Amino acid sequence: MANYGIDAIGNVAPQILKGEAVEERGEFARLQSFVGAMAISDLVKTTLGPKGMDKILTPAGAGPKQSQITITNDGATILRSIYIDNPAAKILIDISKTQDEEVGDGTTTVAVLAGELLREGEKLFNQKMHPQIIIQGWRIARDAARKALNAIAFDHSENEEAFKQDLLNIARTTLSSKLLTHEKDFFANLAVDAVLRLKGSGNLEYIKIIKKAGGSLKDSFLDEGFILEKSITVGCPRRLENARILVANTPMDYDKIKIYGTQVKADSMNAVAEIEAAEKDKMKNKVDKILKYQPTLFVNRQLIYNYPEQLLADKGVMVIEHADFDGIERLAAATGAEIVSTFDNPERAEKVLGTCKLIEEIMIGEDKVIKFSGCSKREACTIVLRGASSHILDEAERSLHDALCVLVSTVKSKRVTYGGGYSEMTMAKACDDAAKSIKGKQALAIEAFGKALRQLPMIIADNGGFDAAEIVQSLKVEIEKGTPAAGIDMNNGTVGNMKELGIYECLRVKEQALNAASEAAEMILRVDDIIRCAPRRRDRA
Amino acid sequence: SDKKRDIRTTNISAARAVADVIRTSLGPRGMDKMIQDSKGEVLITNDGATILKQMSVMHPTAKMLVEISKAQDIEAGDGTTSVVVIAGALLEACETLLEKGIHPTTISEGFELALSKSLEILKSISRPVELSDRESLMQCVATALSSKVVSSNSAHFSKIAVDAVLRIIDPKTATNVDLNDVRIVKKLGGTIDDTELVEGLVFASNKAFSGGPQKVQNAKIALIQFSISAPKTDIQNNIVVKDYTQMDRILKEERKYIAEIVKKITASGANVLLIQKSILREGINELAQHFLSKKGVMIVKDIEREDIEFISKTVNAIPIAHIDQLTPEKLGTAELAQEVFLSDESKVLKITGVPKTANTVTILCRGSNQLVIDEADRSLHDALCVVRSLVKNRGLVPGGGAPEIEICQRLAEWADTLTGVNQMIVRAYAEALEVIPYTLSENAGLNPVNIVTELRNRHAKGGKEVGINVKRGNISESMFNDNVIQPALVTQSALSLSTECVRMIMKIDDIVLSMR
Repeated sequence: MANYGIDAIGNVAPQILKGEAVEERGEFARLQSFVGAMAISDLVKTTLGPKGMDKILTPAGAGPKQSQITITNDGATILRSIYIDNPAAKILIDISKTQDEEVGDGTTTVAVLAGELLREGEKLFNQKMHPQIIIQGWRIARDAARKALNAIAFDHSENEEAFKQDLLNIARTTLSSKLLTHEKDFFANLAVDAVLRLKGSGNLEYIKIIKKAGGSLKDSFLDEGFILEKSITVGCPRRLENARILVANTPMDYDKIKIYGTQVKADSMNAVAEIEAAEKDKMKNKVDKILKYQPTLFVNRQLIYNYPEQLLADKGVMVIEHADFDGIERLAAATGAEIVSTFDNPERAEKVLGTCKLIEEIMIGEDKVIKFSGCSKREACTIVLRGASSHILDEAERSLHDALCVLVSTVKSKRVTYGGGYSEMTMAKACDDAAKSIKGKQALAIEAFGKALRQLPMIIADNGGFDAAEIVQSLKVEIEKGTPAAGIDMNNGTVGNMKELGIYECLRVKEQALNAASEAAEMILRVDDIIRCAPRRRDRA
Repeated sequence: SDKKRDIRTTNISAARAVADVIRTSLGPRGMDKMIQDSKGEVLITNDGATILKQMSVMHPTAKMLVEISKAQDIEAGDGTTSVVVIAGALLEACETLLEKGIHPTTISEGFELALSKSLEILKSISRPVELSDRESLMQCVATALSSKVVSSNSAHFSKIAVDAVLRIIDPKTATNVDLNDVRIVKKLGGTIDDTELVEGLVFASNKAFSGGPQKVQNAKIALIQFSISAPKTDIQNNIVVKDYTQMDRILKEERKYIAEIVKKITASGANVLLIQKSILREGINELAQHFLSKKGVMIVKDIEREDIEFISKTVNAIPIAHIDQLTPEKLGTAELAQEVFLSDESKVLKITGVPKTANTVTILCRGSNQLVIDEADRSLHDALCVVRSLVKNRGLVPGGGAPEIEICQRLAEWADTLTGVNQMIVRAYAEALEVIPYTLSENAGLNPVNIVTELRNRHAKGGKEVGINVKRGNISESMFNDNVIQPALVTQSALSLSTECVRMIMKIDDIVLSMR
């Protein structure tokens, strides 16, 4: 009997797969995919929109980890952390992750849209429509939607003032669905300022976010220049103007011969003392080499022992030790320095050294930090976040990061569209229009695509506690009439003008969400067989 | 849906449970809690932040309340209990509002409105204070300490805290205080009253003082980071001895080596030697101790590396990492370095008469047992924080629940000018603030209903400073006259932190198990 297994319906079949491997076919496989994907989309859909809710993530299992809870509204963060044992659900999580990496926002939207597409797909499938036909229809619908989306986008990048206004609106819209919603004007300004400083380079590395508990979110601020959370060594100058910065990653603890098992044998105390002196000399030589570069600030990633510290301090060099990887990399980027670990080429000093106008100690909350202002690469800036608790701070950081990402991709792609459901409804209309000219039953699938798109404003309104069906229907009418910039006004639960309300979104985020969601849904729909490999056994030692 | 409502309800009740635990600690007649930690150590405290830190709460929202208490401690140093009690009351208000079918985000927005108005009102009732006004500063600290175990010593402590802070800042320009510049040194023994402020350094460890004269006047202090003992290399070293004559030679060499160092030290003119602790080798060996004490040099060893900065700042000495760098200009100065006997015969080493430029100060904290001394340390920290919050925000408000009642009434009036559901939310917010006077009087054994209604009545008649005088057990016409005053920053940050936290809890609709 070992070679026969009983499948789910009770038929005896010869066993082909290895023991414990599981295969699910046809109806069952599809059911699994649909259920899994929809469960994921249902899980995150309440976080959608300005009135979306947050989730608490608690690590499973006991232990110290239990105390590290996360409170978030960010779809990608939620999806990244949940336990999943469903292949289709995994696909949705993956596209959400990709969305996060590509554009940084719309991570919830993409998962929800894919889920809604599959919900419509299931209905069609139950009407005995072949998956391939549904997919054909979806493709036509997607192209139509994308065309419509591009048609309503606009580009103000020629006019700097107008573009900045657009960016502010986008930042506000993104933040309105996050924790920072109540201080969104403040943070929108903060984020736009930070991104405009980057001057299109789009390197978020230059923006450092520092979190300090205490105070409230409104006490957060953007600081020009770079802030390092380290302290200056005792005995050095505490303030430097026009600093020449040498950023290094080199051992300054002790310089011993690193050969395994080295040891010295001596026959007198004096000999030992001489060796000690020689060791000290070795370090002194290194310091002398460093001094040849004529830095006024020496920053090292590693520890610096008292002796070399003192030698440097004696020469009036400010010393910062143990500045971490992150610290030195950003500092090097911000001040235009090169990270060095050997000091044999003082003639390259001008190339290697970074510069900045002023270095001083400032206090944030209870702690002293070092501030570098007037860095040679002017893009650098630091955002200091204050807030009631670490949960708030973490979430604030995530929200701000999302906003920064969206702004950066807007600065790159330059095209902007209206939010509040305007773009989704317009795309849905395009689908409906496209369906009219199609003869075959693909038309049904195209209409279904439109329906799924309309679900997004529906969910957003629903999350706000409004009568979603009513609002979305009146919005549909407005869109059919061709009213420009019509969308949901989430403050009053009515149809409003998105241009006046300043609800803007980045086109690229929308486009990426549309593409990713439809592709994922397509992929899941094609599946008719799920094979689970036998889990690998862990041999007991 | 049902599930969401359930989660919200459990979240709220978990958070409120935390608030209920510590509400009996609020106010001067509040009770202490005894906490036994997992190791069996006992801790007795009245400090909200400390209680919560020790309580191992599990529920996520309960943890958030613990967090805001911590944040309040950082921001204002006082009001750590109040902030949690207010948050608990606000959550209770939320529950009622939710039952009425109001959407959580609407509540959250309404609370934001109410908060900004409350802060406005708070500002309007606060009185400006000058840092030169020591009396008011001390009263503020005394109010903050009145609820602590050390309340009977509050006069003494407030003087110390105010003097300490005023010493380390420039009252004209300062906007913040770095409390790292105040060092609290704990020495078991004596009573809390023996706690004193020392403008200089105190070394309390018995082992720290290790030789030389017990008193040095016009001290020249060398702060050294190298060791005075037999040489040791970074690479492993062995000394090979072939016969006994070599043994003698080696001993002689060691003597010579150390005598060399000692000579250099005395040549620099140093007569007090502070030696950083070394993990690799002995900081100073007996031979060197012997030599140095013969030369009349006071020796203090085992100084932690993190204390170096403080010491260097205080006596204006530059740490010296190598004997060759020891030069007279790197030495610090002090008028007197002396080993002093305290009231209970125990000894500490004090270095006093430090340069006036040193913006640091040491507080020598005494107490008859470890529990008392730890609590005294926490109270001192709170006291310092209170003074600091006055430096940050120079406003005073009356204590005894007066500001809360005033905000409550004015907010309720303002609510009537609003339209729609916000009116209801702001009103609920206002009523929630009454929890402070209510709990204060409850803890003092007064009749809370009578007191709170009376307060409402008096405030409605225009008595802005009417509050509860808990010590006398009645209502006082002006808390300012009764000298029950507190920094405006304490109330301000308690309100904004608790509101921020409650708004966050309102927005949560699900708890998801995660992998990390």
